Amino acid sequence: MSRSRANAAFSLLVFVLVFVYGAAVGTRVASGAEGFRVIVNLDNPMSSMDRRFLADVYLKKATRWPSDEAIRPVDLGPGSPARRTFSDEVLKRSVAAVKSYWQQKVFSGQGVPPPELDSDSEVVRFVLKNPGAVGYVSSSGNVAGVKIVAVR
Amino acid sequence: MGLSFRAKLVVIVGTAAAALVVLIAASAAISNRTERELATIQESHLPKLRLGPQLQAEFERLKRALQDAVAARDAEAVNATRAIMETFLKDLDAAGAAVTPGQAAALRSAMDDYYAAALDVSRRLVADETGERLVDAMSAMQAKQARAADLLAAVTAFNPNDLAMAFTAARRAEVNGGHVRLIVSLVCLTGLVLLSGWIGRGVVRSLGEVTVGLRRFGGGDFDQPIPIARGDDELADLARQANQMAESLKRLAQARDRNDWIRDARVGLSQEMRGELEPMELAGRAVSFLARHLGAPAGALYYADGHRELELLGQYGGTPPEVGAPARFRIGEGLVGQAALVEGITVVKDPPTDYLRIRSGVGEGAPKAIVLVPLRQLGRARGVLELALFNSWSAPAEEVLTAVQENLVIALEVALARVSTRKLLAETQRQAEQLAQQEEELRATNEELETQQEELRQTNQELTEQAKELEEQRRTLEQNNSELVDARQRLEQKAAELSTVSAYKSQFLANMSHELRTPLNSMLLLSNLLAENEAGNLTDKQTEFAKTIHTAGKDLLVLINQVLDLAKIEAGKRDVNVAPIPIRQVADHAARIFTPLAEEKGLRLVVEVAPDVPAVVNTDGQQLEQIVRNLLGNAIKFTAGGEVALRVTRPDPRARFRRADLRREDALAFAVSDTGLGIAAGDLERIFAPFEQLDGSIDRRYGGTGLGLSISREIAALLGGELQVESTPGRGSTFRLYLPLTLDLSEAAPRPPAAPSFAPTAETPSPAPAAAPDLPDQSSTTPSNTAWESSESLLIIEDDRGFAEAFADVVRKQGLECLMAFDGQTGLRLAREQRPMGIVLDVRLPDTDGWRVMEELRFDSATARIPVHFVSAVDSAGRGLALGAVGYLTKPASRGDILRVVESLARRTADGAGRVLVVEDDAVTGDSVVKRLAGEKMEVHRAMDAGQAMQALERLRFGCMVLDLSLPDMDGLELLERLRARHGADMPSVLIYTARALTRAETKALEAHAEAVVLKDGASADRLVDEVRLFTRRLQEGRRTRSVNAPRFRPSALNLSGKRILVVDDDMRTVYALSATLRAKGVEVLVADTGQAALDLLRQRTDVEAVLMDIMMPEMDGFEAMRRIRKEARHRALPIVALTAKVMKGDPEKCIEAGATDYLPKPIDGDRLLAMLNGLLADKAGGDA
Repeated sequence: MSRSRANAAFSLLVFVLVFVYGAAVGTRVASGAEGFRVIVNLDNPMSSMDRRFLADVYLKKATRWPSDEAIRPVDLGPGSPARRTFSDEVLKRSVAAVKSYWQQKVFSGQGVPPPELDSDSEVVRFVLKNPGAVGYVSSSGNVAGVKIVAVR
Repeated sequence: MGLSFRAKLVVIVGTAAAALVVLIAASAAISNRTERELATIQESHLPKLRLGPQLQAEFERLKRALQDAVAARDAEAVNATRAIMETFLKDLDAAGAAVTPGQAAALRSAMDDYYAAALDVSRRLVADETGERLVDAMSAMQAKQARAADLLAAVTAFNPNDLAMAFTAARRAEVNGGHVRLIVSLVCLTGLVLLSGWIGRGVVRSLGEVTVGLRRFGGGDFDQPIPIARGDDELADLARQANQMAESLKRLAQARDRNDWIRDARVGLSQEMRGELEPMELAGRAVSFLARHLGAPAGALYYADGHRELELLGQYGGTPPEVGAPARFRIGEGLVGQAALVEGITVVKDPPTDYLRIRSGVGEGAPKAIVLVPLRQLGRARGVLELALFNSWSAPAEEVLTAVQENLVIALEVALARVSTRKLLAETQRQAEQLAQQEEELRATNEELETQQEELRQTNQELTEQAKELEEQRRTLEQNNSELVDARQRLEQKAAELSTVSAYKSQFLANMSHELRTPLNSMLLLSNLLAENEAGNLTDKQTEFAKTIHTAGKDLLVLINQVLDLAKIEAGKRDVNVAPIPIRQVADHAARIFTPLAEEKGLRLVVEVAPDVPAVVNTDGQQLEQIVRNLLGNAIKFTAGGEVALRVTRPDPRARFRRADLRREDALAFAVSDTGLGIAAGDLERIFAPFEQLDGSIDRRYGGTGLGLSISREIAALLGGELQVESTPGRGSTFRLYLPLTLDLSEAAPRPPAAPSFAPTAETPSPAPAAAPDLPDQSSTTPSNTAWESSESLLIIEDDRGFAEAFADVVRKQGLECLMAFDGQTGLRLAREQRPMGIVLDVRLPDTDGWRVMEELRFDSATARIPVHFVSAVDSAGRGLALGAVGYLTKPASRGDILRVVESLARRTADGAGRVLVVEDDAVTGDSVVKRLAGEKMEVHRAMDAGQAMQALERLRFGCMVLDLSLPDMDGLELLERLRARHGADMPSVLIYTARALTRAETKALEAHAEAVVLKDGASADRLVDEVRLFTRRLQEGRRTRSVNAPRFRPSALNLSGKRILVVDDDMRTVYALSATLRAKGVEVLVADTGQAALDLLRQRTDVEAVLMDIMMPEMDGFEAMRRIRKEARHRALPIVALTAKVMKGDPEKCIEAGATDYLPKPIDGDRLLAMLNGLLADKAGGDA
């Protein structure tokens, strides 16, 4: 009897651990309340993409898809929580650092940042309109008409 | 070529200048080109080098600024970037030639585009705009930026090839220019050299010819001229000029030859005429010389002989004797006479052949010309020289003749003059002889004059003798004068003798008082001894008798004193010192003095001053008070009950005066009335007679001598007033003293005393010794009697030796040693070494001045206390006294002045340390005491009341205090108590000096404090002075006065038992009295009746412990005896008490000087003697231990 009770306690512990881990992984990869989803045009053949590549795209170091289509990244506004998460996790830089990076680029004539759009719907519309576009929306946003790609 | 030398030079120089101009022009052209190339480099290429980086930097700065502003989200900073933009544009404008205008405009517009877009983007970024349009704007902006950057690069692009090309062009231009310059220079140089060579050759040849010609001329060859070179240049001209010069030189040589000939003629003639020649010979020589020189075969000379005729003086040549020259011509006669009158030479050419023929051995012929030369002196015709010539007449000959003419005339004149001189010489010799004769006569006259001079000298001698006589008379006068001086000195001596006589008189009175007092002394001592009845073997009755004897003796002493007083007044020896006396004060004083006595007797004392009485009366206050005291004392004494009154009023209109000079309106009445016995009318006059009292029995009842009124009346007379009395027996008497308001000494006093007025206080001591009212003191006015201590000295610092000697003389006559210093330094040294008792100091000294010496004296503690008296010809008394001098004497000074100085100095020192405080509220009495004490060489301070007295005692130490018991602010006794409590042992000895009649209780109280009680009245001033002197000296000698004072009032406590005391006195009564007193105390008394006996006795016995020495003894007096005793070493410390009759001032000092330890006045107070002996022996015992 005492043995069965010990097993039950162990089982409970394992469950709890698994639950906590699962929650953590879900937050990171899929999306939570503050998460994001990367979207591309339906014409885009890619279904997943490397995080480094995505970062290069957003810093305009990579400008062409493998199909030689021009990449047009689009950002959410700086106040958006998804933007913050995206910046931290994909670009591995704070929003402010990114901003500073682009200010330097802009005034030295070396390039312009991706356009910042105020809402998820605008981003979706932008991606729908431009075949080479890539964007991200908050995890709760409506993504009808665009394709969600996984970030590796 | 016919060009002149100058033209040739112009050609050469001109050519050279033209070549130079060409060279310069070529150089300028080349330089200009090079300059242009270099300017292009400087203006276009170089700025571009600088401008590019500059504009690029500003462009970068602009971009950076915008980026920073956006990063900071600062709209202001965005706007501020416009400044950078403007700087950029300004620099672009300033670029100038470095940028083409087209390029600049394009760049400017591109920049403007870019900046507008950049501003837009920046603002939108700052405003946080987002979205695609922003990104588009950014892109557009970047495009514009790229375009501007491209344009900027194009504008500032710098091509190094351009610069290199520019430099190459410049270098090429420079090299080409150099070649051109070289070629032009060479061409010009060659041309110049050729031209110069061609021209130079012609010049050299011409110069050669001229040189040869000139060398020839130099050799004296003037005949061949220099060939004139072809052409007309300067060298040809030079040759022509040289030829002309040769011509001139040739002419000059000829002229010189002719002149030589003329000169030879002159010189030759002069030689011919040298020497002292007679006129004839001279003329002959001259004619023959001239004829020879001119080649004339014949000649003649005519000369004026002083008249108007010309005489033939000399001739030459072959004139045939038969023809001959005529000996004389008159002037103007014939050819010769005419020629003499003409200025110039007369020439007769080609005379007819028969005019004159000249023959020689070889032939004969006629002369070609006759020449007549006039000889003129100062325009006057003197003669004519005639010559016949074979040659024709020539100019040189004329010159020769003209030239010699003057010399010839002079020589002839000199010769003629010599002839006349010879004549004159003879004449002169004759005149010289005459002169010698006259000289002889002159000498004779001179001798006469000398004789007269001798006579004058004799007269002068006589005058000198007369002067000598006058001198002798003057000497006689001087002698008379000195006799007068002698007479004066004799007079002075007489005066001194007179004062000596006066002194003898005083001495007599003193001796008499001594003689009277000595027996009285015995009587008092013995009677007192009997009355004490220590042996207890007398009955009461006998004791009573003894007391009566004692009382009577005391009365007798008072009587004697009064007799002396009276005698003194009658002899006019009483001095009157007039001063303004406040009447109120006199009255109050009297009231204060007599009130206690009156109260003791149960009498009422009334003192009144009438309102119409003036405030002050000018009289002798002390004497006035004596009268008032006498009257009041009498009144109280003779009144049993009722009242005694003093009333000061104006005199009653009914008053009658016996004195004519006393007027009622100028007088004052002091009325003393009583309710006593009264005096019968018949007795009123008698009471003023000496020794009179109304009733003999009164004498016994009241005591008194009856002399008081006599003395009062005498004093009243002395004060110019009189004393009157009216009385009714049984009801009382009234005594009235009438005094003038102002006492005029010259009228009132028949013999006004000649005493000088006193200085008010002793701080400035009076130069004259005090003329004291006491009889014995009269002698003190004679300075020689003043006793100085001979060992002491005065120092005189004075450069005037005469004055110093005079001073020293006076000082020595005073029995003092005198030191002299003639300059300040010596004076200071002497003062330090010798410590004189006083210094007389001249203000003006050779090495320093007196003020300085004074300061140094005061600075040195050794000399600071020595009194200094200044002497000077200038009066600066104020300064001297300010420095602390005791006095100031202005030269010239009389002997009297000097004497006073010496006395003041000596007095200063003798009692200098003895300081006395006089406490007395009454101005008159106080002044009198101060004067008396000041006269005793004491430093006297004055206090008007008890407060001042206490202050003075706080400030200074005093040897003695003279105290009046009646003080306005405090009772004398109370003051004494306070002082005793405050100062204790340091308190000075106290002398009570009061006019108050003391009650028994007061006397007792005072005895506890005071050294002695002295009653205030005229005769007691002596004793006051003696006591004060005694105290101060004791203090100076450092003796413990307390040991003397303390036991004084406890005679029974003395322990003299077993002491051996030697009494030396020739008067056996005194010896007996003293012996009795001493033996009663257990003393073993030894007796010697003379000084010698005392000496012998002291030699035999070594156990004598004290000596009482009488001063006045026959054979050897006390002074001498004491001196001899002191000579023996073992008696140095022996106490010796001198016994004096208390008569002569100065005796105490003499006693101490002679060796006395202390002294006592006679009559001897037994208690005092015992106290003194006890003190001395106690001292001795202490000293031995």
